[in-house]
Amino acid sequence: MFTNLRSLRLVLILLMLLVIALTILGVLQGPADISLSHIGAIFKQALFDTLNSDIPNWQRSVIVDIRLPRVIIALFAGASLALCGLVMQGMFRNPLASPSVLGVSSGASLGAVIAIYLGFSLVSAWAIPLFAFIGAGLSLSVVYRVASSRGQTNIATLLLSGVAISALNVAATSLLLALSLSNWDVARMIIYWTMGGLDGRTWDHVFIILPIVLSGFILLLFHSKQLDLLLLGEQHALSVGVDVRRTRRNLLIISSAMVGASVSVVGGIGFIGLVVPHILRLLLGPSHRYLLPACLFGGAITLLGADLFLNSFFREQAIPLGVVTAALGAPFFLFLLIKQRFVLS
Amino acid sequence: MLPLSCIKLAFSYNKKPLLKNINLDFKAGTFVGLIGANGSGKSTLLQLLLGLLTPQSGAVNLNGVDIQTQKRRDIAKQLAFVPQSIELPYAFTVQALVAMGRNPYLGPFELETAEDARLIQEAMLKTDITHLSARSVTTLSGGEKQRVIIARALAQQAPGILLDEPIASLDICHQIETLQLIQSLTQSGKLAITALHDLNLAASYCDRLILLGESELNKGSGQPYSGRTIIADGTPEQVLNQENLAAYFSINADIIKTNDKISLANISPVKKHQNKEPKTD
Amino acid sequence: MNNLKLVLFTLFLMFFISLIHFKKGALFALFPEGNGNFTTKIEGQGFPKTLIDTTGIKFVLKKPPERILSATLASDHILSGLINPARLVAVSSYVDYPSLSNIVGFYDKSIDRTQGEIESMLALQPDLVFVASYSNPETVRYLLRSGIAIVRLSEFNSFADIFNNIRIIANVTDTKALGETMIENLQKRIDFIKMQVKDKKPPRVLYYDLNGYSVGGNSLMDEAIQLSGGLNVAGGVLADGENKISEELAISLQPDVIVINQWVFNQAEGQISPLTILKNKKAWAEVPAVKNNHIYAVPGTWLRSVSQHRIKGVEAIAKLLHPEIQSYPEKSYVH
Repeated sequence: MFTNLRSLRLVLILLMLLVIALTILGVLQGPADISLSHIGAIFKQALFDTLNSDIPNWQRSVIVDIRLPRVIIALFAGASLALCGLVMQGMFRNPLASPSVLGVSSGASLGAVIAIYLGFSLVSAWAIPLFAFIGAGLSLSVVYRVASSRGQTNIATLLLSGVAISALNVAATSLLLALSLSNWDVARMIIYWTMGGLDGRTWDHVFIILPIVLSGFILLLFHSKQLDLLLLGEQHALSVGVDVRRTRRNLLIISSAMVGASVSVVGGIGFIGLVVPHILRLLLGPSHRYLLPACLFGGAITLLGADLFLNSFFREQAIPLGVVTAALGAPFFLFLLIKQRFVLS
Repeated sequence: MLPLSCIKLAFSYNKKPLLKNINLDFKAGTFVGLIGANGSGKSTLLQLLLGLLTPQSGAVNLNGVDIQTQKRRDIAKQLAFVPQSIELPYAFTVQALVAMGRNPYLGPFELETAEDARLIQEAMLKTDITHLSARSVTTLSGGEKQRVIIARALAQQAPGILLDEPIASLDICHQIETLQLIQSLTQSGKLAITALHDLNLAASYCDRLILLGESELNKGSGQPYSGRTIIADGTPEQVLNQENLAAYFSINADIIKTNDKISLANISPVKKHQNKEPKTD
Repeated sequence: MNNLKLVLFTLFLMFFISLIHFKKGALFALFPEGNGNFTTKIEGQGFPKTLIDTTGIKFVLKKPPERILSATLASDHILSGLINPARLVAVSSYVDYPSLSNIVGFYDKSIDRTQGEIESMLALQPDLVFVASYSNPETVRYLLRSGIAIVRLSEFNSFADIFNNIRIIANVTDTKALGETMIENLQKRIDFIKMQVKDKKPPRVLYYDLNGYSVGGNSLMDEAIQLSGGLNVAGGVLADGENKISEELAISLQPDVIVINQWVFNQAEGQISPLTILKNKKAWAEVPAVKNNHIYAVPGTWLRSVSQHRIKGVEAIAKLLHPEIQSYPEKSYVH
C-alpha cells in the first residue's frame, strides 16, 4: 500500500496519464478507417480553424461528433459511477455498497424507462436524466431508511434491502415493457435502451453528464473530511462536530444526481462503483482527499477501457457494456464477500 | 466556562421508558462518575447530555442554551466524547485519527497548522501512544484503540469531556494512567463525566458520583415502570452506602475510609432468596 | 448412510432421464428438435391431406377446416386475402395494433383475439391452428400434444418465402386458386418495378433503425432494396439478417438514400418523427443522404410485413429511389 505522500501523488499522476492515453486510443480506434494523419489534421482544424480540404467532411463528423463525445461520456460516466460507489461505501461504512448492489442503478433505469414510456424522452433531452435522478434518489433513500436505525447500518439489512429494491425496480421495468408491447416502436426503444452502451451518444449527452459529474466531484471534495469522519461511525463523527444528518442528506442528493446522470447516458452499468473504489482504497488508504480524485480517474479508465476492449474484439456481437463490467466485477464481489465473511465471524 | 445542566430530562425508546426526572448541574473542574448496574441508562444519559439523542421531555442546556438548537460544530468545541464502541475497520494511521479531533476548528480544505500539530502530539504523549503514531489503527489491540480515541478527545481541546466506559479494555496500569490523566485534566479546570463500572476506581478518583437506578417509589408499588432516575448524587462517601450497594448492586461490602477516600473490601453478592437454614439438630 | 441415499438418488435420476429419453413424444411432451426449416409439409392433392410437422408428428385433415385459429400476424394477413372470415374462430391480438398490423379493423370484433394462451385456444375447439417458428414453443408443444392439426411457417426472408407460405395456407384451406392469383399479382407488381429500374443506376441505400440496427443479406429488407433498384450498403458489411451497426460504420458507408421506419404512435398528433431526429443529428450532417435530403420514412407496418402487404413497402421504396417510375395500375388487389 502506498501511504506516504510522494507515492500517493505518483499514483494519482499515473492514473491521470492512463486516462489521457486511453482517451487518445479511443479517438484513434473505431470501425471506420481513418488514418492518423487525418485525425491530426482534423484536430488542428478544430482548434486552430485551419482549413484542410483533403479530408472528407464525413471523417470530421465521425471524429468530432461521434468518437470524441463517446470517449468523453465514457470517461465521465465511469468516473461518476466510481465516485458514487466511494460515497456509498463511506456513508454505509461498508465496502460492499455500490450503486448497482444497492438498487440505485436499477432505480435510475426505471426512471428512464418511465420517461420513454410516457413519451417525455421525445420532448426533451433532459427528460430521461431528470427521471433517472428521481428514480435513483427514491431507491437510495428507501434503502437508507430501511438499513439505518439509530445510526447503525446492519450489513445484511443493507444488502438485502438493496436486493429488494433492485427486484422491485426490475419488475416495474418489465411491467412497463409488457404494457408497451402494443406499441412496437416504444417497446423497441425501451428494450434497446435497457441494454445500455455508448452507441449513438452525442454532444447533447456530454452536456448533460459533464456539468453534473464535475460539480458533483467538486462538492464531494468539499466533503472529503466529513467522508473520512463518517467512516468512524455516527457517534464518533457527531462528537467531533460533523452534522451527520445534513452531510448524509447532501451526499445522498449528490450521488443520486450522479448515478442518475450516468445511467441516463449509458444505461445500467454495474460493478464499477464496487470494484474501483475498493481497489483504490487498498492501494491508497482510506483518506478521501486522495481517494476522490483517484476514483474519478479510476472509474474513467475502467469504463473507457471496457468500451475499447469490446470494440476491438467483439465489434460484431451486440454485447452490452454492462456484461464486461459484470464479468469482471461479479467474481470480485464474491471474493470480497468471502473476505468479509471471515472478518465478520 | 461551561455550564452544562439538564432539567426534568426524560427519555424513552420505542415507547419503553428509560430515564425519567433527571435534574443535574455540572461545574467545571469536577470529575463526575456515573455508576449503576447494567442497563441503568448511563450510556443513554451521556448521549442525551451531548445532544446525540432527543429527550421526550425536559432539556439539556449548554451555556444556557438548549443543546438541541446548537450546531454540532459548536457543541464539539465545548464537549468531547469518547464513545463505548470503537470499531475502526479502516486503515487510518493513529496520527490521522487523533488529528480528527481538530475537525471543529478547521474548514473543509484547511490543513493542520503548527499549533494543531502540537496539540495532537501532546494528546498522544498524554495517552502514551506516541510510539504508535504511524501504525494503522486496524493493527492495534482493543486497549490501544481506546487510548487513541481518548487522545482524539484530548486533541479536541474542549472544556468538557464525556467518556463512556473508557477503561473497559485496558490493562490495569493503563486504567490507572487514564484515570490519573482525567483527574489532572479536571484539576486544571475541565469537566469530566465518566460512566464507570469499577466502583473502587470510581470511588478513588471521582469527586462526585451519580447513581442511576429504578426508584424505590416504583419498586413493588404496582405502578407501571417509568424508567431509571437519579438515586443518589454526591461524594463517593455519601453515595456508596450499604443500602445502595445492596439495593442497586446486589453486593455487601466493608466500606473502608483511608485519607478521605473510601474503598470497598470483602465484596460478596447479596443472597437474593434467603432459604431457611436446614435444622441441624 | 448418506452415501447410500446419494447413490439411490443418482440412480433414480438416471432412470428418470432415460425414461424421458425413450418415451419422449409418447409420454412426455418433448420432441426431437429438428433444425432449420420448421415449415410443415403437406401431402395429398385433395382432402384428406396429411400434415407432417418437423418433429415427425402427422395430422390428417379430413376436410377443409371451418374452425381456423390464426395465432400469428403473418397468417392473419394472408388469410385475410384468401378465406371467408366466418371460417375463423380467432386471430392474433396483434391484428388490432396499428404499429404492427396492416389490416386494423378488417376482422370483425366478433372474431376472438388470441394472445397465445393455450387454454383459451383449446376452448375454441379449432380444427386447424397456424403458428410460426417465432411462436411460443411451449404453446406449440401443447398443441402438438393435443392432437389438433397445426401448420407451422418458418421462413420469412424473401418474397419466395412469402409465396411459399401463401401456397401452404391456400393449400390447407382449400383456396389454391385464390392463392395462385394472389401470388401472380404480387409477381406482376414486382416484375413491373424490376422492369422499370432495370437499367437505372442503383443508388446506395441504407436501411437504418434509430436504435442502431440495419440489415445484411438474405433478409426481406435487403431484397426489398434490391428489387426497388437500390444497393444495400450494409449488405456486404453486416452478417445476414437484422444486425447492430455502429453509427460510425453507418456514416462511413456514405449512403445516398436512407430509409427508416415511420412511427405510428404519435404521428396523429404531429409529434416528432424519426425523420426529424435523424436529420438533427450533427454527426450525420455530412452523409450524402442527409445533405441532399434523401431520408425517407416508410410506414413500419409495410416494412415489417411478412405477408402480401409487403409489396406496398417495396413499391414505396422504389418510388422514393426512382421517382420517375410509374405506379402499378391500381386494380383493387391487396386489401
